[in-house]
Amino acid sequence: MAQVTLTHITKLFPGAATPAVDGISLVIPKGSFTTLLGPSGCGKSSTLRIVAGLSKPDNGMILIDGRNITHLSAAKRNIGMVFQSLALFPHMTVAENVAFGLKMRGLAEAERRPKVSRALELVELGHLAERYPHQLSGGQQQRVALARALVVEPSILILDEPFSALDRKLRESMQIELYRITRSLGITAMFVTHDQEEALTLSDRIVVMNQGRIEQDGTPREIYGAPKTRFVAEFMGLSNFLPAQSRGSALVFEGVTAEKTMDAGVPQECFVALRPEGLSLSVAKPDGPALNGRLAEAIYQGATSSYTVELPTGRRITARTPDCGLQPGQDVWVSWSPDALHAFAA
Amino acid sequence: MEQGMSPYSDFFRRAGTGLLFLFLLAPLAAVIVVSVNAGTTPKFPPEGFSLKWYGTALSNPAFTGSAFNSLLLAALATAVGTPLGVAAAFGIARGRLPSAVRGLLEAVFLSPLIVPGIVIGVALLVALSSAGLRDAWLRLILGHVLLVLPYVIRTTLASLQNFDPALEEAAHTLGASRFKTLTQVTLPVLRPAIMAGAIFGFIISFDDAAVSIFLIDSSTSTLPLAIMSYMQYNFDPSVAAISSMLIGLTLAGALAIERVFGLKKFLGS
Amino acid sequence: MAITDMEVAPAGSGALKPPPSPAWLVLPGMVFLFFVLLLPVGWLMALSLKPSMAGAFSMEGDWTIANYLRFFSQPFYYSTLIKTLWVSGLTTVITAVIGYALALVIWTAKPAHRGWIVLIVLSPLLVSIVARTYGWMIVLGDRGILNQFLLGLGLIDEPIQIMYTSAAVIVGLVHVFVPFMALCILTSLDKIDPNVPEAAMTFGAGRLAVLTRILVPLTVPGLASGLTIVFSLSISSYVTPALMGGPRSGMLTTFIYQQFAVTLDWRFGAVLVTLLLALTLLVLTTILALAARMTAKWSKA
Ligand SMILES: Nc1ncnc2c1ncn2[C@@H]1O[C@H](COP(=O)(O)OP(=O)(O)O)[C@@H](O)[C@H]1O
Ligand SMILES: [Mg+2]
Repeated sequence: MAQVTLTHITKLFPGAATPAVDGISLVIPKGSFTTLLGPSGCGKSSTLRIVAGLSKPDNGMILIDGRNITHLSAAKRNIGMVFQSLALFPHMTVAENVAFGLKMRGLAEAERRPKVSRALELVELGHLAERYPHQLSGGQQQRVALARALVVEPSILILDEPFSALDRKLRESMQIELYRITRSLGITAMFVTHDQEEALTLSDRIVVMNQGRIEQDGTPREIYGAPKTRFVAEFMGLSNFLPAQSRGSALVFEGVTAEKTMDAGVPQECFVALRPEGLSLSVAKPDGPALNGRLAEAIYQGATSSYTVELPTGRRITARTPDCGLQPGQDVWVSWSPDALHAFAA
Repeated sequence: MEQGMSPYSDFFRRAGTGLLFLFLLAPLAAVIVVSVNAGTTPKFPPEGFSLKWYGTALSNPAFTGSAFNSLLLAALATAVGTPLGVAAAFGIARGRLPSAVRGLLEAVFLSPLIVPGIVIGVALLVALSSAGLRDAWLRLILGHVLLVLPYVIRTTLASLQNFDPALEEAAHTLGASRFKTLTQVTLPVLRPAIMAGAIFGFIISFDDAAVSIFLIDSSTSTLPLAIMSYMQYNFDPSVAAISSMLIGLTLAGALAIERVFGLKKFLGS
Repeated sequence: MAITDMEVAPAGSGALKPPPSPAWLVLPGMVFLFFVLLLPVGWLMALSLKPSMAGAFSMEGDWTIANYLRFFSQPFYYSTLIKTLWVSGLTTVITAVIGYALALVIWTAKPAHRGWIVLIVLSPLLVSIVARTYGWMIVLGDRGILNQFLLGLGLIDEPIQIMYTSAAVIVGLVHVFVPFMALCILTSLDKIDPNVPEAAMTFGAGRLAVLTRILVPLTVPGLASGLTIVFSLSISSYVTPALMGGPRSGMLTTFIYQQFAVTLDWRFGAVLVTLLLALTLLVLTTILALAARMTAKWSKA
């Protein structure tokens, strides 16, 4: 296991107007599971491929345990990579696929065999060693790809959206399995996804990317609970953005003043966001700050219902709460739990 | 307006289909039936069952000698044409080329499919004669490599275009050098396509008459041409026997392609 | 971070550099094609512009179009061009009809039967050209199966001559080209949502209307490539016309054989080769352009 450092990594593809990766600097501590999260096209894969040695940066350096590997070929970096398409070798059995990296490292058959069976045990595929990839289910193929990357004891495990082709149920069970395996081996992992729930489930650390740059870098709790920018907030499922002014430790929006301890970076003219799940509706004015409006829409969705309230300014906010029997047209009050309120620069 | 299928339309549909199948299969069935005919002329219905014409065909030196030539020629042409074709397909698919150049290269490499066989043969004969080269084997091999080349290029190119680049990248990250990646991953993955092209090229070469007719000489002939010249003066069932054996050979080749590649996909595009 | 302490990998063996462009791999094949196909064909075409002279294949003599004038001024010569065109045209039309019918048979077949039907449709391609032709001789000969059958039924009094006529050539060509046509059309049919013809039937369209108004227009691309392939294969076919049409089948290809192997007037023969190639290219480009225009309207949607 190793620490990986990216310094000022930049990549401009020929013919592109803006860089795909725009000066990314990042330290991935030994044994941590770090996820690059961001919308499609934000440069996650490009960054991973530079770390793996499959693509050459225009600028910047990659260090593994302090050693500069920027100009080292992929074959010599000792990296385990799981590809989005899995890239299992179709003409090799499961065991041969897993043994490939060991063979390339010059290990003899006798040395390879125990390592291959241990890797296959780890992903619970020992009984399928002699099958070919096309004879396996999607989840089993996934495990082979993982075993193939892990068996070489890589200094870092790199995974590029490995679960994006799986259906929801399988994806969730694979996430749990990946969590179990990486934590039990204490491996350093770099994971890429555009799915925020997946990132929250798996990671010790999430790096949110946007247009080739790092938007925010922190623990899942920090990223979800305290998004620093509107982009991160929206990406983590926040909505109900309203213009606001910050006055010391208070926020004023829609004529209401709310107490909030804020980051120093929030300017006077700012935005607030209200997490829909942290809102509650009532007919009577509650204690503390609340917004008054007319219930425009009520949609029953099972466990929760979605209520859209039109404020006097014409802006709309949406609340998701358990069904509370309110009818459209009613005059309602919207209040919020303190951690549902966030403020950012515009 | 018609609803469902009336008994009449169903009858006509089946009868029509049957006639079409008869048309497709009649000459093949006739060859096989005549080949086991005991009589001396290709009569219908046959006068009893006998395999003697197979014996006659196999003991005719004109057939056996030219069959050996044809096998050797097809094998040599495939052995030369396959690496040439695979290399060219790699160059077209992987070379960093403008798309216009790529399209042009592809068209040029597939052009032997468009140029009539007899033109290939006659052009080669004239050109080699002008250059003072009059060896029949040299002419035949050059002409037949030309026949094999486009089939190998076509299947290899199709397979390369569907090739997942991540396969090679995976091999790299696992420590494989460029050479190891080529020999242990890329070529094995392409093998079914290359094999299909090579087998098809072999069959085309073995079966060719149009290109070879100008390239043979009085001492070197190929099986199809030997049969053709035999047919001009004889009509006995030994031609049926040798034809039946050819049917068996081609069928075996076709089954091999079907196994490794899928025949319909191969003939489709 | 101790970025200062760095060990830069030496450029060389392990260095990360983009793989060299393997475009040069086309070179051996290109050289081969140039010397074995392009140069010989070009040479032959140039030879057609030299004065006719028996046995001469060198480039001596003045440039002239005399050979072309000779070809187009004598009915005996230019009739081969006309005959090649109409035999190929008729072959193509008949192949289209039969190929379409067979494609529909495959398309509507139960999945369990489909494999067998495809095999039957492909069978002519799987059989050596001489074997196939010999089979047709047995079927179509003066004392062949067909004549015996018709005589037996009393439909004819004496055998009709089929072998060594244009009819035999057309039968032989249709037989071997039908698989190409059927596969081309099938490729287009397979792209049609099976609900489309059904939907048309629920709107009251009859079977014929479904065929002509829906299936045929939607299969124009397949039909066009089938027509192209079959027509160009027909005009360039040699063995079938030579064997089934007899030595004087009157097709351009058999005439080429005569010029080069019997008359030995290679420079005049070169005219025929040039015309055959020009014809092939013309047909290919015309039909492809036509198909592109016809499908451009709806395929971009
Ligand atoms: N090989 C390439 N050539 C040119 N542009 C590329 C290439 N790979 C990626 N890009 C571009 O770089 C940007 C980032 O792509 P990528 O890293 O794949 O994003 P992500 O993985 O976050 O979806 C995109 O705009 C993409 O179009
Ligand atoms: Mg990506």
